[in-house]
Amino acid sequence: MAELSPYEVIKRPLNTEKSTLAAEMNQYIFEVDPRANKVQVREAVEQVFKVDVTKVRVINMPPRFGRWGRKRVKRSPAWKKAIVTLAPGQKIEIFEGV
Amino acid sequence: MLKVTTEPLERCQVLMTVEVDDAQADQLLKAAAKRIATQVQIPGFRPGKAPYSLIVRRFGEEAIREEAMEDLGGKVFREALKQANLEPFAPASMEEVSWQPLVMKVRVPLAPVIELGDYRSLRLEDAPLEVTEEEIDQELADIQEEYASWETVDRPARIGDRVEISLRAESDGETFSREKVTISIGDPDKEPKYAAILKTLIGMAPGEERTTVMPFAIFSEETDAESGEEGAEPESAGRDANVWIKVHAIQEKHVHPLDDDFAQMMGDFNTLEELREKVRTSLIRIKKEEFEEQQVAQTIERITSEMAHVEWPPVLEESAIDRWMSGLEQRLKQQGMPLQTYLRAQQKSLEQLREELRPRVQQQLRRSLVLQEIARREGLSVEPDEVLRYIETLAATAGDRQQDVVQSALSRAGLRQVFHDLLDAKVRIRLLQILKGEAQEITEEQSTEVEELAEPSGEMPAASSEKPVDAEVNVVLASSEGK
Repeated sequence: MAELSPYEVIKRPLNTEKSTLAAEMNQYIFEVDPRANKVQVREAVEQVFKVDVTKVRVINMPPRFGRWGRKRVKRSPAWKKAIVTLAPGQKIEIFEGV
Repeated sequence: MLKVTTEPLERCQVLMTVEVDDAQADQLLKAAAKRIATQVQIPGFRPGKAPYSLIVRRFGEEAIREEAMEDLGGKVFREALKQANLEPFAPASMEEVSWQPLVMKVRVPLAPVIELGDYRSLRLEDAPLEVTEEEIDQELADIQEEYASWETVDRPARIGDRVEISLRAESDGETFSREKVTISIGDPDKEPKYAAILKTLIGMAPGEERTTVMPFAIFSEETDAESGEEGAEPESAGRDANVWIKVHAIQEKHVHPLDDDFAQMMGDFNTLEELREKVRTSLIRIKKEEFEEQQVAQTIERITSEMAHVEWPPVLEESAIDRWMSGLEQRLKQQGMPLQTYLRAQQKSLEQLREELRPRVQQQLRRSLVLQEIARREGLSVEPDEVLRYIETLAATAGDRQQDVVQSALSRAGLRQVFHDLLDAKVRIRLLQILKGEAQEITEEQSTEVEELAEPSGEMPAASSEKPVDAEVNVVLASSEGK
C-alpha cells in the first residue's frame, strides 16, 4: 500500500449533475488516486474536510480509447472515483462553492 | 407582494418606488440564474441544469442581477403599474435599483395633460367681405390676358410679343442649345437676369439671325435650375459666350375687348354685366374661404398658444427631436452628405443642433396635442376606410408615379401622415363650424376615447411639412362650402 498524503489521495471533487443530486443524500463524489483504497479515502476526507465518514464506495473508471488510423490510442486515462457518505447533518462546503 | 409608492414629478411624470420582498427577490434571481444556465455550456451539466450556487460562482452575482433586471423591468414592473393604477404613456426609465432589500425606482411618463379652455365659445370675427370694382376689373383683365389670342405678324419683335427662336451658346467647349422654343419678351429692365437676351431679341425680324456675345451664366444657371442644384456657384460665372440666335416667328398678343361678345365666349353669359356679376360672386366666395381658413388657423394658434394648458413628458419631446434628426439625416444623405459633415459645416455639435430644434419641436408638439385633444373631445376620428380612400385618390392623381406614391403612403410613417392629415382636416372643419356657431353641443358619449390616437400623432413626424396638410384642408374646405 502506497504511502499517500491526504492531499494526494483526493485529487478533486466532481461537480456534475449527478454529484449535485448525490449531495442532497449526503454523498460526495471525488476523483481519487487510483492507488488509494477505501480506508485511505475515508481518512483523507475526514482529515481534510473535518467531517465523519460513514461509508466509502470506490469505482475504477476505465480508460477511454479512440482510434488513430488502425491504432487504438488512449484518449483519457483510467481513474478512480470515490463516493463518500457522510454522517447525517454534516456537509462539505466546497461543493457549495468551489 | 410588492410595495408600491408613487410620487408625482414635474412634467407628467411619476416616480414609482417598488419594494420587492426577499422571497420574491430570491425567486427572481433563481429564475435569472436558470436563464443564464440554459445559455451556457457547463461541463458536467446539461444546459439549464446547473445549480444556482454554481452559476453564482461562475458568473458572479452581478451577472445574475443584470439578468434579473429583465424580469424587474417586465413582469414586476407591469404588476407594480397595475397596483399603482398607472398607465405609462411611453417606455419608463429605470432610475435606480438597489438589492438587499430589492428596491427599484422607475420614472414613468404619463399621458400628456391637455386643458383646452373654452374653445367652443370662440366665434368668427366679423369681416367686411367686400369686393371693389377695381378688384373685379383686375380679375376681368386677368381673364382677358388669359384668353388673349396670338397672331403671327411680320414685323420686328417688341416687348410683349412671343417669339419662336433657336439658340446656341458656346463657351470654352461648353454648349447650350435649344431648338424652336417659344419665349415671351418681357421688359428687360424688369428681368435683369435675361436682359442681354431680351435686348438682342427686341427689334429682330422673323427669319433673322444674329450672333453676339453675352455672359454664359445666363444659360448655365438655367441648366442648374433644371437639375435642381441650387446654391452651387456656377463655375461658368464671368465667362462670355458666343451666342447665335435665329428668330423663326413673331406673335403679337391680341386681347379681346371687354364686351358682351367676350362674355359669351366665357360661357353661359349673355352680357358683360352677367360676367361681372359672376366674377363678383366668385371673388366673394374666394375671399370668404380665405377668411375662414385664416380664422381657423388663427383660432388653432390662439387655442394653442393662449388658451390651452399643455404638459407632456420629456420622452415625447426627445423622441420627436429624434425623429426630426433622423429625417434631417435622411435628407442630407440624399444629397450625399453625412450628418457629421453637415454638423462640421454648421459648426455645431449634435447637442447644439438638438437644442436649437427644441423650441420648434415643442411648438409643433403643442399644436398636435391640442388638435388631438379637440378631435377627441369632438368625437372626431378617422376610419381605416377613409384612409384607404384618401390613398386611392392620391394614387389616381399621381400619374405615372402611382406606385411610388402608394408605396410610401402605405408605409408606417406614410399611414401615420395620412391619418394625421385627415384628422387635421376634420378638426379644421369642426372648428369652422364652432366658429360659425353651427356645431352641435357635444354630449359625453360623442367624445370618443380614441386610444390609438395618442400614439400615432404623438409620434407624428416632427418634420411633417405643412404643405400637404394645408393643401388637403383647402380641398376639404372648398367641398364643404359647396354643400
